[in-house]
Amino acid sequence: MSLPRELFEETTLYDRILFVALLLLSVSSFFLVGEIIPSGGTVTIEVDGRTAYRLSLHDDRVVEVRGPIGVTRVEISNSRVRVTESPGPRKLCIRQGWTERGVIICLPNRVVIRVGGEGWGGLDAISG
Amino acid sequence: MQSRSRNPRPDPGSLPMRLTSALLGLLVILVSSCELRKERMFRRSEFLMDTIVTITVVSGSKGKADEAIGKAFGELERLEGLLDFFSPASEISEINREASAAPVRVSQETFDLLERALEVSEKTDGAFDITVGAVVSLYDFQGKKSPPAGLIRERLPLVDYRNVILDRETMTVKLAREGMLIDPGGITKGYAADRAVEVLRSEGIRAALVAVAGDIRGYGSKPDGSPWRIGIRDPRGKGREDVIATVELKDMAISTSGDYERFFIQDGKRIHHLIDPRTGYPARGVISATVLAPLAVYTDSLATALFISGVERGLEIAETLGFDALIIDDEGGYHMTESLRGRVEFTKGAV
Repeated sequence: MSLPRELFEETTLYDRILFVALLLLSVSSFFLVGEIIPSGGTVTIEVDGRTAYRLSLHDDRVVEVRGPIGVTRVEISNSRVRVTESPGPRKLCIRQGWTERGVIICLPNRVVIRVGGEGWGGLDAISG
Repeated sequence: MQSRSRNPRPDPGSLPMRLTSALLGLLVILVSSCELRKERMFRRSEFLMDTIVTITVVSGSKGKADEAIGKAFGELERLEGLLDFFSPASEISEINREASAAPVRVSQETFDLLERALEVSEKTDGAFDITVGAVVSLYDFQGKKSPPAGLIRERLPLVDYRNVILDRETMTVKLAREGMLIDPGGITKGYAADRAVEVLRSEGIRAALVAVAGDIRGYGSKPDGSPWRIGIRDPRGKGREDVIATVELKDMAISTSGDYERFFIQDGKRIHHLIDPRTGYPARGVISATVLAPLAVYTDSLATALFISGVERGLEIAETLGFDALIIDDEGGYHMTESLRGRVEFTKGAV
């Protein structure tokens, strides 16, 4: 008698139901993990390529980081992030305003703020 | 009297049998979880070449991904040392200091890149020109000051790619006029993206995306098999994250030039950094030009060239070279090559 046949014969209906349920659970995990596990709730502040802070997007606070040319001040409020102070001459990162998801870059001070996890809202990069 | 079986079957409802079933199920879960972890995306950003460079690789091993990314960044650092306009030790600086007096011998790599830059100049009627630096340097974008017309007129004769004389036999570069400056900044970022991709490929990485600012080259596909998705920045959007369209990128490069990168407003006019080498003034008529081609060295330089050439000539150049292009005119109208139609997903309608 072959092993699968033997196994089949020696299991009860409940064993089989349990097996199918576990199988379904494992298959569904492929599709559901991304939905069940919350993502996009973090703010990562990098200075010169190194992570300085990893914070919750949902805790309001003000953080200051020191880059090569001075201090960049980052504000987290109402699940949004903005830069309120930056030593860069053109203040582009301040002008960007509130961001709920994406990346804020203060290039002269080498500060990168990633809001809501990796990437730019489902995009892998932005040209322009 | 009850008879007993010769080979008694285990009780199917017994604890050991139930445990066996449960363990079998768990095994299935574990195997599928391992499959989930098989390939992942690893990303790192660094400040190089006066901008932010982000490298994303697809790999089943963090160690392998880290090593490959490290080597790719190493290659970019090497190129920065070789080609940086501002670094006194670079070959470009040496050319700018000495090549108007006598030919300067350069590395094969610098020579090949300059040759390619001149090739693009030739094919775009000089709309892309690495000698435009002599005029661009007159504009003070931080101080928001345009140069006087007389000064532009005076410097304009120094701008002509045909006065960069390359001699492959001696591997030398000569600048025909004193005061000429070459600035390959409009092509080096694309070239750097191409080189980084070569390094990643040689390290056995099957898929990667290299973004040197907005000059991006991707190959292979993401762990789920889908192609890289790239946003094209809205030239009049609120910031870099505000995109006007998305496009899929597989074994291709993409670059965009726009009048929003460096600019100031003077007398109601936008004075931006994309200076027409033939006039010495900011090019008009276009606010953004995007090019897709197999190599970033071409998309980088051609995005600038198409912006400066205007809608009609810009599309003509792209069609002739067999590349894809999307040009947005100064009234917000979209114009694209036939080959690109249906491949761009617009997130906003034409203004």
